[in-house]
Amino acid sequence: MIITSQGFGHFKNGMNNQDFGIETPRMLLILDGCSGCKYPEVGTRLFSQLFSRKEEYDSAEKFEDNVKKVFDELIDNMKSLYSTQEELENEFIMDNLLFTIIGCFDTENEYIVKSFGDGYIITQNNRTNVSYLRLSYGKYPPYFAYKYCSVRPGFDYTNYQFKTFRFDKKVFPNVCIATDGILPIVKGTVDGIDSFIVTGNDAFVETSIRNNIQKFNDDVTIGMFTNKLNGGMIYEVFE
Amino acid sequence: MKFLNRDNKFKERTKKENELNKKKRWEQQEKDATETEIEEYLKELEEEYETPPVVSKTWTTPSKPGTAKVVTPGCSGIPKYDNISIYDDLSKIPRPKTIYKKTIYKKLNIVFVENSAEVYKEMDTIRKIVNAISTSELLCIISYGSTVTVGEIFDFSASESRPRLLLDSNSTSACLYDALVDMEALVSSVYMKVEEKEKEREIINEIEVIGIGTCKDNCSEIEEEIAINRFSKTTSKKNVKTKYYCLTEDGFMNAAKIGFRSIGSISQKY
Repeated sequence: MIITSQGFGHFKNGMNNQDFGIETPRMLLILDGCSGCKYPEVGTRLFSQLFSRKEEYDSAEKFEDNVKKVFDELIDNMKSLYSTQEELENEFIMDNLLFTIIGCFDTENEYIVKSFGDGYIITQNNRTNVSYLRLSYGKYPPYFAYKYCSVRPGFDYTNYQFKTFRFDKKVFPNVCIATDGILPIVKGTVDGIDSFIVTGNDAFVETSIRNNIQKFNDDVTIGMFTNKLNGGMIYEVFE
Repeated sequence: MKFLNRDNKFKERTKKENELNKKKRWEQQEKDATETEIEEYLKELEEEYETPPVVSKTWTTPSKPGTAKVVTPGCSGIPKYDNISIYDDLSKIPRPKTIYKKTIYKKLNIVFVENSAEVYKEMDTIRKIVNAISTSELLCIISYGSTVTVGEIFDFSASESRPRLLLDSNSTSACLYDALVDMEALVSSVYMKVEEKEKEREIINEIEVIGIGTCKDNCSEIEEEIAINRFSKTTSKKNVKTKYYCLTEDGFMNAAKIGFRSIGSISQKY
């Protein structure tokens, strides 16, 4: 289940919700658009649509290749519409395609999280302690689209790769992902929401966020696996 | 609301009924005690005392100083008399002084820092974290290397200077699990316990644990599972927050396994 909510700060400033996400029974993918560029909400939605058309797009092994293919094809197709590389970078890539990418894959024995940019990984250990792991890279976080910006100085991200985190299900029975808009939840200003997030209780999470919407300045998106009960028992029933 | 009003009216009725019943009982007692018995008793008292005794149901303040004996009707109908002290000036009545101490709630910050060479390199960042702690709060430093050192609880109101944080630039050992157990013992001993002082009482009702290090262990005597179980007792308390600043993202897994709530990295390099 992907829960996404426009930030109150964005609402006041007339900005759209720049986050987006897609899900399958074994994959969660969330994207957080850069507030500093013009149309990140366009990029996140366009990317998601094209990505979901790829073969085995919810496979952890093919994820990075699929992301690269989508970016390659999209930028190649747009090249003809811009006269120079600089124009393409400044007016298409920088205005539309700057967003963080976080994917979480539910495999048999572990959860695999692949991230490129800022965000949060939410885990629950065997003692039901909920942890919020913050991925943060300063004021100017890396975006995958920077790999296609060769003309701009200081933007050499060609060697940057996805970061991979593996969580053994025996140690971490529940894992979720979120964009960095959940900071108020991490600080503890939204009471009682922790257990609802890790157990996939989307109705309560959505209600809690709506009831405290003024505390969320930035857009907030949380990806949770809801088609499970007590760490995967429902799979055993249907198998 | 109608039901609440009915309940309130019922309560009022029962109160009035109880008061009426009491009055009836007093009156009945007086009736039970025969007139002749009272007269005989009063005569005895007149012979004993020069001044006539006062018969009343309530305490009064006669103008004469000294003590007097007042006859009041007893429960079983037999009159009895009690001693009272009489004061001309009500302000001279000695009243016991009760001192009500003010309760002050305080927050304790526990800086849980790894005493190793790797952490020593990030000394500036650690100092910023420690200096960011408000002076209205309490501070305790627990450092763990080859051994665990639990510092005293430092109150900034009593001293202007801040406690020193000394780290070993050569140490490579870290007994994390031993330190977790000691930290849990400190939290249990201090959380919501009342400390009586002269004019006030202090209660620590909020604790924040700020961990800094690699979140690795290489020389603890206590086992990992025991330490994690003890740590989960700490986090189960309300108003106890836990944070861990790892040096790099390599420590994230261990910190999440232990159960720190908020986990971040000091290094922001991708």
